[in-house]
Amino acid sequence: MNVADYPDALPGPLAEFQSVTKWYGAVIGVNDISVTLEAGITGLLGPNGAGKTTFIKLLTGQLRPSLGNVLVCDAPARSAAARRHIGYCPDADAFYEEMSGRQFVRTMARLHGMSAVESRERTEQALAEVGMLDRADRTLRGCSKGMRQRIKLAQALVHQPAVLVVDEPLNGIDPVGRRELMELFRRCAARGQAVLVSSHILDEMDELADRIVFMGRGRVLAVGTLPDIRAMFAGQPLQIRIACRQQRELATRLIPWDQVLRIELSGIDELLLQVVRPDDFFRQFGELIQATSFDVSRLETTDTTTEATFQHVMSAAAKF
Amino acid sequence: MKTTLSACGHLFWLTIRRQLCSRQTLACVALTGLCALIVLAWSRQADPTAKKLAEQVLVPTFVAFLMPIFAICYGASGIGGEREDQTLIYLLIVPITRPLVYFTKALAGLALVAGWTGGSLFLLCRLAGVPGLKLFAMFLPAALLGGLAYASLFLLVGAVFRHGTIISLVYWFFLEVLFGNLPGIVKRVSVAFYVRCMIYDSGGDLQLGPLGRVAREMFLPVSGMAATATLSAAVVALLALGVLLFETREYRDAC
Repeated sequence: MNVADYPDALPGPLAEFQSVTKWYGAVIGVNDISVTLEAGITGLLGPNGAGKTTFIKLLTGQLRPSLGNVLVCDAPARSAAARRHIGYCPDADAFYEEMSGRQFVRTMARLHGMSAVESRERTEQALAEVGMLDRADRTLRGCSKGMRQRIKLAQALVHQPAVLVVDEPLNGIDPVGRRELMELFRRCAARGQAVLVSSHILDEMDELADRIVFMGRGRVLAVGTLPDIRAMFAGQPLQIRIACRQQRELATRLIPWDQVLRIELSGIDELLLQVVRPDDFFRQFGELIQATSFDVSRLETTDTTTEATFQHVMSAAAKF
Repeated sequence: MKTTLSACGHLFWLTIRRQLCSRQTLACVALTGLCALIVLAWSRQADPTAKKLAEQVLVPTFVAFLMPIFAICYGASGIGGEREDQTLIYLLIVPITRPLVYFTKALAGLALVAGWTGGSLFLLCRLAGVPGLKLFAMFLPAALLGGLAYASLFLLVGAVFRHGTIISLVYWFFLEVLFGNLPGIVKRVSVAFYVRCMIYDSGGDLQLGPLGRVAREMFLPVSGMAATATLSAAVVALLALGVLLFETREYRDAC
């Protein structure tokens, strides 16, 4: 299997959860999940106990669904055929410690059935991709956390999988390294791989993910791009920051508007608004600015970030 | 098919290499050295005979102690070691079916146990001189089969329980050492009983058997053939059970 010729040629989802439920005895891990993963970067978000780990273990074939099916490239996730198409970078910092990074990645390549020559070539490619080509001969037990994280990623990439699952990939990586790995994930997505990134650091998702899967209490609460998900919660108040020299005059004009729930003056030229029906608000605000001489130098929404959207999703979920 | 075979072959050699370069090997070397010293000390007596060597040294030190230790070292750590090191995940995400992963690791573990058992038995017999060389062929089938039965059992224990090595040690001490020496038929649940039956059967010429009249009367042995069949069946059954459990089991501790 090679991403260069496989994922692009495969129409439809690279991985699919079909009404999947997983029970651990009397405890439910995930409840009736139906999600597809396509080429691109998908962020998996949720608080502790949301079911993210169960989701990943089902996708990587470590767990068997109690109900439903998990398919990877049309093969059941627990089958050997599916595992040819999936690369997994686990969260745990565990390796064959006596090996060097290069030996470890090559070992994983051999365990994927590659010949000695092919495994050597693919190992060098994978190490180059994660930026470890010149440092991979160090024994793993002597490597820093960041280097170990990169080696772990290299082993997940070495067989060029269609679906790459990475659990907390940026833990222990310095800012420059983070940028490099984010670039790597984007390259993977650009060549047709589905990259699923589970992370607690919501800011990472703002930059990284094409779409987000929000999980809570074992269910998928929302799936889509951040703007799409935010649009689902249009009824939820939105925070807006406006920089305007005529701070007080503008506030006076906005107070009577139905969409404006709250106005707060901040500093000498800033207004913090809480509005509902943001589309209506922005249209009316545009008309106001055109019709008056208010000098608005900046207008931004402060809660369309992943974190704010996550809070909206979680608070909405809590009502059920 | 070819890639699966290639992957299994690599897993086999990887297991052999990692097991050999482990603390378990150091333990095996040290304990074999200790037993070798015991044999050397024993061989300095005035009248060393094969019967005495079997009863005073090989049965109590090699059969009852060294052989199960080899099996614990390389059996319990086969899957159990991967679980304890949290590296089992790397075997669960490669495209080798779970039954094949277990079977390949079992083959590697059994090969190591067989190698250590045969090799150390040869060393001890060689050090004992002529009486030892007389006993080697007599002890070898029983020792190999017993070692393989122990290793299959401890491999299964390692795959099922989180702390497989400790549980294997506990099992060995309580079930094998205590039950194996109890009077009556309770001892028939222990591997050691069948190993001794095979040895006593093949050592009929030397009149090998439990020391003391009471022990001999209460031993209630089975024939060598029955013991061989029982141990062989145990190896196959334990391997099949291990494959089945490993295939169906969900390792939530694997990350």
